[in-house]
Amino acid sequence: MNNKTNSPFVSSTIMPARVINLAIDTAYIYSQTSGTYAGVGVYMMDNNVEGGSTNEGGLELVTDVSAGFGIAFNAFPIDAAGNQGDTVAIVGFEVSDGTNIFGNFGWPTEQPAGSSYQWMGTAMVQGNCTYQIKIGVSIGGAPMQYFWWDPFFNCTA
Amino acid sequence: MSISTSNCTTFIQVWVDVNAIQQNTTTGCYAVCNITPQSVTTGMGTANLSTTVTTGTNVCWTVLPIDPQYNGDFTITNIGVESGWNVPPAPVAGLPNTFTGQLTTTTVNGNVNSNIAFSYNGSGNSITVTLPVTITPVAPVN
Repeated sequence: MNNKTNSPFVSSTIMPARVINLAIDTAYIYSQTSGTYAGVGVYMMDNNVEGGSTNEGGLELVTDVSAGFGIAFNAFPIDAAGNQGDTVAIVGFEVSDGTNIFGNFGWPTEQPAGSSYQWMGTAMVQGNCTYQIKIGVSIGGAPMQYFWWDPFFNCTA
Repeated sequence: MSISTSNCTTFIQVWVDVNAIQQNTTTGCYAVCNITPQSVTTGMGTANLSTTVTTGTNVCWTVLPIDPQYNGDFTITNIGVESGWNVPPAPVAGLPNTFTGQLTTTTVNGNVNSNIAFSYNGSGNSITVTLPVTITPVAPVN
């Protein structure tokens, strides 16, 4: 067991400049209506509050990046250290408004199981965008339910 | 011997941005717990968490990096003060970033101090931070 994520992982050869983390209250979220989500129970934070990212700790994180930066995404249940059997998985992304800062070749892709980062992409185009991140949540082995919402990227050259 | 994390039902995580933390400040620290309803928990995703927990509950605290490939280690050095616990918070063997404890089994008047004192050691630096966390014990619902 790795005490940094409560699960074993294989270190990535790529060191992303930005890491966006999602802490999920799985039991609470699972009790909500699946689909577009605007409530509480999802807490996003990145490693760039000193560099200008805002809305840390909430649903509408605004992450500042520079073109060329690797951007990693992870999502964990808040009760990950326990024995509840809850799981969270990022299942996809979409740019819903503005510039696709990932361009044609930097779109986030799912990393192999056991990687230190679950999804990873590269910012390639300067501009601002609203993106959708979609997660699946399961509690106690029940079928996954899916939720998505709209955080933001600001990408400078 | 501390309580196993698998026997806990309340979890408090502190996610830390190692690019931001500084000595004795809580910038870059984001505390969350698995008791989301805003009627009982305030300050989720901030450095000032306050929540309500049923008496006798086993509680687990962990301090985690936002970037899992960060350079360094986290160690919880202390949780709260001695009063308010049936089993006082203690480190979990082999997991320096994890403490567990059991909340008092009698309803107490007021709040239980659950402040998390931890240190970050990396790149030749040692930074200590105390994050305020308050737990209000409530009687079980019959």
